[in-house]
Amino acid sequence: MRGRAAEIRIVFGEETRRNLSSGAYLIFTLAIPVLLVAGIWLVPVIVDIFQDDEPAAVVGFERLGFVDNSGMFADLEGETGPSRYQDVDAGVAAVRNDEIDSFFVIPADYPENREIDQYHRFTGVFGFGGEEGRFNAALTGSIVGEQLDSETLSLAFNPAFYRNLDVQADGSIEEPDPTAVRVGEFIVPLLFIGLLAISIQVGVGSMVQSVSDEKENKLVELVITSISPLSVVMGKLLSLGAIGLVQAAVWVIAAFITVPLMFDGIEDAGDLTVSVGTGAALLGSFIAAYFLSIVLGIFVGAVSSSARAASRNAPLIALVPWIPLWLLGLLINQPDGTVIKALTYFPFTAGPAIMMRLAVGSEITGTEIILSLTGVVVLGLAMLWVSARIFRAAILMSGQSFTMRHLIAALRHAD
Amino acid sequence: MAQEQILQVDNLTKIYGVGSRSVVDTLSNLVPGGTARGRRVVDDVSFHVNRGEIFGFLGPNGSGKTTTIRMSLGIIRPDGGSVSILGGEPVRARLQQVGYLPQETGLPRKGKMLDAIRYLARLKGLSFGEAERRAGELLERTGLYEHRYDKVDALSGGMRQMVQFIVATIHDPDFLILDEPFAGLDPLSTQLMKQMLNERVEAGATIMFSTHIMSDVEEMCERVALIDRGRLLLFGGLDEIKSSYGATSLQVDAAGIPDELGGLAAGNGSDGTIEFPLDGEYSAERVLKAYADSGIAVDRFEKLLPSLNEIFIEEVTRARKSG
Repeated sequence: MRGRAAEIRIVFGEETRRNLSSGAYLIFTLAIPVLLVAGIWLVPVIVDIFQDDEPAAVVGFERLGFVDNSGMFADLEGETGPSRYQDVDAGVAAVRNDEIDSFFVIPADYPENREIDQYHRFTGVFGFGGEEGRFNAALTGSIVGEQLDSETLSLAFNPAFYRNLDVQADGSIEEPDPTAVRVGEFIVPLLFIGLLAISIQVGVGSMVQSVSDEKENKLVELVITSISPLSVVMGKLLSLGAIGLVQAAVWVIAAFITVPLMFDGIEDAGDLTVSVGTGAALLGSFIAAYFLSIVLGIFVGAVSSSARAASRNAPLIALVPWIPLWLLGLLINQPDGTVIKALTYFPFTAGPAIMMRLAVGSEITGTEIILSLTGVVVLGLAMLWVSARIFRAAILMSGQSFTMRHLIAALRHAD
Repeated sequence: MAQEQILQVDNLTKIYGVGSRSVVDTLSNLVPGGTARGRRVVDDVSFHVNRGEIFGFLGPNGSGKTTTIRMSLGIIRPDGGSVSILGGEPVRARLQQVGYLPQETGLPRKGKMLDAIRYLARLKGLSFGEAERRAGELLERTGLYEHRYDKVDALSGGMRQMVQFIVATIHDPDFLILDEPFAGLDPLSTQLMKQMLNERVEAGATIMFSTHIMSDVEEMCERVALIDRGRLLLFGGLDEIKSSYGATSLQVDAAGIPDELGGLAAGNGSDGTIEFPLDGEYSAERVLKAYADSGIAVDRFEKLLPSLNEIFIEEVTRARKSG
């Protein structure tokens, strides 16, 4: 008699063939790399739109103007700016003619209330280009300039150059990671989160459909008189698992090639490198979360009364892992708070919670990650066992609700 | 010497809950024991199928044929009684030697016909290559080869039925169980399927098929079982069953009809064959005596046994009247 491995191999082959021959898989797998390649051209263009036209050239007090009604700033005007205007109309004309970006009206009662009107053309998304800060510096220089020598004035404007030192958990002191690594430690988990979101959505949808199709096809009578339900479930799981992971691997490789190119010309974007520990935690979280989700897909597909009901339920499963994302504000402010830690240990949200905590620089430990992911895997295996036990009964109940009572009965009397 | 029994069904019982499609119904369907207060859809049914025969399993719609077949294959579990198939319980190792054509179409609808056949053949133990080769042969034989890359969804009902037949026979099973195999088939396809079934029997296979079309049974089967409302009404050899009912009419080849029998003759064929229905008043002996008394010569006479269709209607009607 043929062994279980051979049975699983047959179902695995059939499921893989069905998924790959649908065309949607290949299109979807290649769509992300294509979008990423497009991003190599698009991202710099978008970044450019959000940046000032000539950000590097604007230094000092250029393109600033003022009207002084207080009489306190006789020497505020400099050779390179700010420029003095006689009245508001003259300032407005200068702004309209693009001679300056902003001009400021210093009122007669300035010493009492310090209220200054800023006139500016509010264009673009953000509108401002830091003009207030630069004009403040000009005012400061004018107010204290007469009382300080030039060296002291320079110190006042640039009082220190800082060196950062990172206090480790064990009390040792280290140079912090270079900017490139820090960016990577933020961006790469975010990329993984995005990939996991898509993979879970697609994987769960495919699994639920695959299982519920068994009901619609009425194929189950032939299948279960030939092979065991566990072989059917395992074959489907391994097939969709392998397909999903291959798809994710293609996306990760494409992202690692294209994303650095997208940010190549952008200052401080870095090389998107991550530490080995972070990389391993991300990979482990991805695989564990994906595994649990598609096992849940088998269960939901089996207990749903029809393919239509199953397709309604599938998006709900895919939403559960994203509870940590809904709590993003809390996650950023308290990445090691009680709520976020609880989500880390709740198997259905553990994977994304770990990824998000890694992204926002939480102090999550390796032990915490291992414990959490162990819980995910154990629950996944338990769900797999339950799904295989109830599979025959649940699939035969096409068009009928599968209640808790049925679940218990099916578990007790499974093959 | 007793014949080897391929399928032995003893006191098989299945109880569904009150009202179809109820929760209890479903639960009872899935687990042994079911519910104590339910409808007996199969009630203490016993019969057996001998090796090498074509066995007809008859009954009106909803009589419990499919439920009995499903229990025989271990798809659903009985609430009482036992099943022995190929010498033991219906476990998967034994069922690998069984070919099954379910009443409802059981094919992956979105897939191509050839892929579906190959997959189901592989589940029955054929290698990829064997499955491909056998599928090709059977598709050629059934005239479906040119449709092998068509989606199952795109096939007609008759074509799908033929594909299911291919799936049931592709692994050369020892025992074929076919639930309404001729449903939806045109006469040519029906003829072809019957021919292929006879070839399978000649090759040593055993066949049991359910139907409510009596002519198919009379044409193919030597033994039958008839159930209605879950209860076994008849079981045995077809000739034996018919004989037990006695003759329903007398066919006579003669030059004329005696005056005494003038109003009785049911038919007067152009070839001189006359048929007299028999009942309590007119026996075969009385008809022949009337001929002898009239002096009309009789060339041939034959007692006609009832058709299976007549027996079916009579038995089911009687059973329903008696409640």
